[in-house]
Amino acid sequence: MMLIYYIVFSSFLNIRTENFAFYILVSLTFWQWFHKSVNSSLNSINQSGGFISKININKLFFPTVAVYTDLIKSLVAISVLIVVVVTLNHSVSWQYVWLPIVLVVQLLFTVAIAYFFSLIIPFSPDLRVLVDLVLRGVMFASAIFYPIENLPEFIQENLCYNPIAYLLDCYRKILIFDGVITLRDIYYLGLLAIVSTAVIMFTLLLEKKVGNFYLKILMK
Amino acid sequence: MKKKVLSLNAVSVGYKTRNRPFSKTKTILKDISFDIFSHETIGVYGGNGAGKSTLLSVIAGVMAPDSGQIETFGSTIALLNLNLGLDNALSGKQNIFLHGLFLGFKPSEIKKKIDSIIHFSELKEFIDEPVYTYSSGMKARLGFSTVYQLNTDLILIDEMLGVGDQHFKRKSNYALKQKIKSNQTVVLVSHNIKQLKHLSDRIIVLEGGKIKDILSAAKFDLIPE
Repeated sequence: MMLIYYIVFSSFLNIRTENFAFYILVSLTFWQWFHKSVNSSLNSINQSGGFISKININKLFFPTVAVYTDLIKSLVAISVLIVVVVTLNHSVSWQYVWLPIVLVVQLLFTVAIAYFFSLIIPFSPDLRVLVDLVLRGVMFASAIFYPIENLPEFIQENLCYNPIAYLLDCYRKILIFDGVITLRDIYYLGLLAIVSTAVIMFTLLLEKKVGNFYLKILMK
Repeated sequence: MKKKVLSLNAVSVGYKTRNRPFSKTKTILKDISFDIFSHETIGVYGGNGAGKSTLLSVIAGVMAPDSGQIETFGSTIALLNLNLGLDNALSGKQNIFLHGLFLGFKPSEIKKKIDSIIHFSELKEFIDEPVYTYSSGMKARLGFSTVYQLNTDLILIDEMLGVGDQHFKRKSNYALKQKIKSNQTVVLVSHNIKQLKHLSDRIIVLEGGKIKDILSAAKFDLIPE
């Protein structure tokens, strides 16, 4: 898969930057983590009718299982990625200490999105199509397959409005020395973590309110 | 005085006929109030669509009433119905654990019971295989045995006095009847009035979502067979 992307975007579309293989490899790995987690949690409540009709349980349990499963899978992929990157670069930068922090922020963001949409989608299943479309849009807007410098300057400056693009940029800074983590990045990561936590809190409250209505919806 | 296990106070449940803001609401249960005391068996009788299964869902806590209150006094409640609630990717043993944890048991308590559950289900050779390799009868056995062996304060039985093949059906039916006759608190839903009269201490007659009558054992003859 990565190979296909690499060939298409580097040869056919004539995008050339230094370390382009690394660039795609790093961006795709972390994008896939986010994308898979959100995707598998979207329908998690819908598919758990069997449990929901039998046991009174916090409905956020189901997206949590989905996110957790993908977290474990992705951690394996990320470990492999780090080994590959370190071996090919022959060095480790002190910037690697930022990696766990960025990972935690991405996890918080993923959980927030997964919780929120998994709670809402059973009420209106068609919404799933829309979420898919938005995710696709985010994928192309996140500079995964092309260097971020190719984007218009206006968008580059406002990258913080697309958390995924921002997180991916941080990973590249850390792993392939594409820059350093600045104070501004730290400020932004902190902000993203706080907003995500607030959304998670909100979904917990929302679950208390609507948790017992899912059986009625799912029985239709 | 007998200890209350559960108490319902003016419970009503309605469905929207369509998922739209101003669509009509169809009432399923209306103003249901009764108490369940420990060690008693309550039969719920009513035709199709009288609200029997919905009533069990409300008692089990999986469906919130639109109005009215339910007080559970901290009792653990298990629902036995055709819906199994198994995770297909997990093994039989893991499913027993999962179900036990969902019902509020501690891992140590489940560990103590697990051998008797496996023994009762007669699925010893298959218990470490993932559940998707099971036949539907085997899944039913597993679900039944788990709920049967873990002693919850209250068992809700929805038209299911026996599962599986003929041999296991007879065995589970017998076991459950023994349990009902013992000190177990049970709510039993059935069309089979003969069986209800035989097993229950009180019978609640539901009609069109309302309680038509609550009969004690002496008045069972009022219900025609």
